[in-house]
Amino acid sequence: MKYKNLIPVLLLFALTFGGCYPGGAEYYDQLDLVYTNYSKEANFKAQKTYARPDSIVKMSSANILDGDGNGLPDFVNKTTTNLILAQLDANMKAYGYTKVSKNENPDITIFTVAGQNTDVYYYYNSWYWGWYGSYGGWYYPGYYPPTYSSVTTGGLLIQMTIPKDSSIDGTIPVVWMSVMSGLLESASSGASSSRIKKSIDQAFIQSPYLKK
Amino acid sequence: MKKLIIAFALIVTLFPFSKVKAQDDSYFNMYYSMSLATGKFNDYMSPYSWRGFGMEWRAEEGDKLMIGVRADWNTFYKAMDYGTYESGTQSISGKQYRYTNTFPMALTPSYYKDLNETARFTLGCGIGTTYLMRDTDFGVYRIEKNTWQFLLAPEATFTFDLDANRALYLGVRYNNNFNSSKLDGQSFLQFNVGLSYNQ
Repeated sequence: MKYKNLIPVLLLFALTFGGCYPGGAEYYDQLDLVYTNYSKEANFKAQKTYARPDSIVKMSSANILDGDGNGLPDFVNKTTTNLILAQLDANMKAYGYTKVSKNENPDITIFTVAGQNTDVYYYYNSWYWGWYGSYGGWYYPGYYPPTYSSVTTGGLLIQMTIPKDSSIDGTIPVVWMSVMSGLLESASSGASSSRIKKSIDQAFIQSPYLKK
Repeated sequence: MKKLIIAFALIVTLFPFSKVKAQDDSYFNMYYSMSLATGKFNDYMSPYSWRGFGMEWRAEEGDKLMIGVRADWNTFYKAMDYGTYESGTQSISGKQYRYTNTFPMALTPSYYKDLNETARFTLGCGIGTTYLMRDTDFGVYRIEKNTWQFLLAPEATFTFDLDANRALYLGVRYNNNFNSSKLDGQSFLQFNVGLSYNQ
C-alpha cells in the first residue's frame, strides 16, 4: 500500500521538478549583445570622410596599472585587429563614408577599444546538502563535490567623434557609440571571426541614421 | 524559496505514509498542473506551461461547503528570437530567454455537490497571493523582478473515487493576479490532474 501511494508522488516529481530554468542559451553566439547609442545633435549626413587608428587598445586591469612598465597601452593582436577594422571599414564604406588619413582633416574619427574580463563561479548548494546529508553520505547527482567554473567575457567598444565639433575646452563629444559583448572563445577560431563580423554588421544595421 | 521547496517536498513525500488518523471529511489533493498565460502575461511569455505542481488540503464544513488551503508552483519559459529593442536613441540587439516562476497560495472556500456515489463537483474561489519571480536573461546579464500580487482564483473541480481512500482529481482554475508596483497582473489559467486522498 505504501509503495502504491509513492508512485504518483514520484511521477509528479519527475514531471514537474525539472528546475526553475527549463532552457537557455546553448551556444556562444546566443549570448552576444550589440548596443548602440547616438547624439541627436549630430548631423551625420554632412560628414563625408573618416579616419581611425590602425591599432586597437586592449583594456584590462593589468593594462591600466601598466604591469609591464613601458608606459604604453597594450594592443589587440594583429590578426584580430585586422579582422575588426576591415569589417568596420566595409560598413563605413557601405554607408557612404570615405576613409582618409588622420592628416587629411577627416570629418569623423573612430576609436576602437577591446576588453576582456574573467569571472569565476563557485557552486556549493547547501540546500541539497541539508536535505540529503543524513542519508548515509548519498548526495544529489551532479551537486557533489562542489564545483567551480569560469567564464571570460569580451567586449568591443567603438566610438565615433566629429573633431570639428570640439568645444572650447578641448573636449570632443562622442556622437555615436557601439558596445558589443559576449563570451570569449579562441579568437583564431572561425566561429569567433564570424561572431565579430556579425556583431559589427549588426551595430550598423541598427543605426540606419548613419547612412548617407 | 528553498524553505518553501523543502516544505513542499517533505509534505508530498511523507503525507501518504502518515499514520495519524484524520477526520473522514478532509481531503489532500496533489496534482500536475498545465497552464495557459493570459492578458499581458501572455504578451511577455510563451502562453503554454507544462511545468506545474500543486497541493491542496480541504475539509467539509457542513453539507455544501468546503474550506481549504493550497499552494502551487508553475514555471513559464520563452526563448525569444534574435531581436532589436529600442529606447530613445538607444538600441540593443540579442537573444532573450524569459522565465517566470509563479507560486500562488490561497484559502479556498468552495461549494460542493455529490453528483452520484463516486463523483463530486466543487465550485469555489481562492483568495490569497502569488509570489512571482521573473528573470530575463539577455546576453550574459540577468534582469530580475520578484514581487507579490493579490490573487483571486475562481475554480471548478471534479473528483471520481478510485477506491475507499483515493479519487481522481480534475480541476480548472483561473489565477487572476492583480497589478503590483513592479509588474502588471500575471494571470493564467490552470488545468490540474491529480489524486485526491480522503483521510
